[in-house]
Amino acid sequence: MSRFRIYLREAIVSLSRGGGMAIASTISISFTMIIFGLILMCFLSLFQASTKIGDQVELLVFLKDNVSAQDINGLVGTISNMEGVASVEYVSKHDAWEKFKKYFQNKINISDIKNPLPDTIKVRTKSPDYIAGLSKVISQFPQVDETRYPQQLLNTLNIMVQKITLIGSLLLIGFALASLVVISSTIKVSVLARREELEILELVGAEPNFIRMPYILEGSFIGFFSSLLAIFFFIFLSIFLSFTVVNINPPWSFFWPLNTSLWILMCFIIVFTGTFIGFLGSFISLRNVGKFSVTKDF
Amino acid sequence: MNPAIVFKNVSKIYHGQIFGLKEINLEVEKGDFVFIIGHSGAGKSTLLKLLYRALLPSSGEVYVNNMNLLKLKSKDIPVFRRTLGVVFQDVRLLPRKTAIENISLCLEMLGLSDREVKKRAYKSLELVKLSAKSRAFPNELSGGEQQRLAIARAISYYPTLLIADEPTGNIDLKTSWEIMSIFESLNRMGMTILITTHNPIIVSKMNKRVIQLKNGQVESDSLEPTPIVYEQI
Repeated sequence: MSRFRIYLREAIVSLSRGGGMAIASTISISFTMIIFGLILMCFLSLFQASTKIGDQVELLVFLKDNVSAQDINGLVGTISNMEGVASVEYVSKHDAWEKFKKYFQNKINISDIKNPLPDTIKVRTKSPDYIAGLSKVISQFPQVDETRYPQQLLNTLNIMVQKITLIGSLLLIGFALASLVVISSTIKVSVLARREELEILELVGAEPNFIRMPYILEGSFIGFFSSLLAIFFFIFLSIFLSFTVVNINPPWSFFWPLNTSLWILMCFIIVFTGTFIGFLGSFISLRNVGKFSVTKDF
Repeated sequence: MNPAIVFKNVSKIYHGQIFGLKEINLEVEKGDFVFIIGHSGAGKSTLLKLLYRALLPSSGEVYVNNMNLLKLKSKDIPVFRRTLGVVFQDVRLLPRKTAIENISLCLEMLGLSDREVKKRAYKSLELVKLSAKSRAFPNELSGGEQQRLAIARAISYYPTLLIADEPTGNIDLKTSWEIMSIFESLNRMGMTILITTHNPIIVSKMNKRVIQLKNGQVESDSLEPTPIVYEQI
């Protein structure tokens, strides 16, 4: 049997025979992962909200008078193929004026006014980061009179996203380190409870890796199962919140307040962090195993 | 001659002042059966721990199968230990493993095939007459059965040297004789056996070489097999 299969078998057997200790470790670590997940969820929600606002921002391209339909089509095609462009919509000056009139129908008298609006191309970008660059390039085209976008809003959003990312990352890293301390302490307790086993294995000639690896894998499994417990908690929390706070019906509520891809990302981060911290916690707790075989002097 | 064990002027001092062993010089030939006797604190366990490299001497040299244990590197200790069979004073079985698993896990360290591991593990259990209890956990075994399981684990490596620290310590006389008969048959198979014990009846009736320790020194060493009346134990 290969070494890894032995380690894996030993870890699984140890977990199944660990009884209360394994369950207690899993539950206590899952609480840590829930707090970690809550911070992550808040961070991702804020990130999602700020990105959503950014995605709504349009680049308006006002065209000069008397640009031919052929030129407009050509320009729309050119802009559509530019990097970072998500969608392009052409609004003729006629359509824009009809819309304007309809909107202000009963509010102001505009029947005598000649249509002052230009032909416009609305450009949506894949990310707000592209807007300034595209604006600069598009404004150079001969058919274009001017381009406009809410620069102030974008700058504020940019700063906000940067701050959220920085603060969120710091919080998450800080909490991950705190979790590492909690988890390695939890694992240390279970390792101490089995100190005798470790000593016996040393005395009968087990190499340090042969002793450590099953325990490290066991710690990783505990971290993994704790993360799954935390994810179940978030599923129930999301369903509960969607019913009571936002009143949306399942299945759309399932991922509230995040969108599907961010939910999957959150789950992945929780599982990865939990498993990795379980691995690292066990590794730290077992770092001295195998060294006392050098000689214990009393 | 090719000795299995050599102690050359070996002393062991604990905490810089307490002598565990004092200037020990002795040799054990391959295939010998030797009892180490003495009061509690005489240095029996220290002597055995030096042999399986759980301790280093404060001075002197210890050789096992021509290997100077002082020169053994840390990374080579596990490999060295797997050449010995050791039965520990407090049995030291893995509590969450069954009898067969206690043996198999040790054999798996050697990198043997699954079939060979299984074969050797069952053969070892058979030798100590414990096959019927292969699926039992240590806490489900009696003191004598635990001791036999510890012996089965120690011999599963097919070692040339078997060290046993008080193997009859907490068991009745009948079981002690059963265990001694296992050691004797292993010795007949060519295994060098070194046993520490407190039991004068066993020592006198086994008629083997006896090394008596007192205050960390060799008090007597009956090189020829001699029946011994052992008053001091």
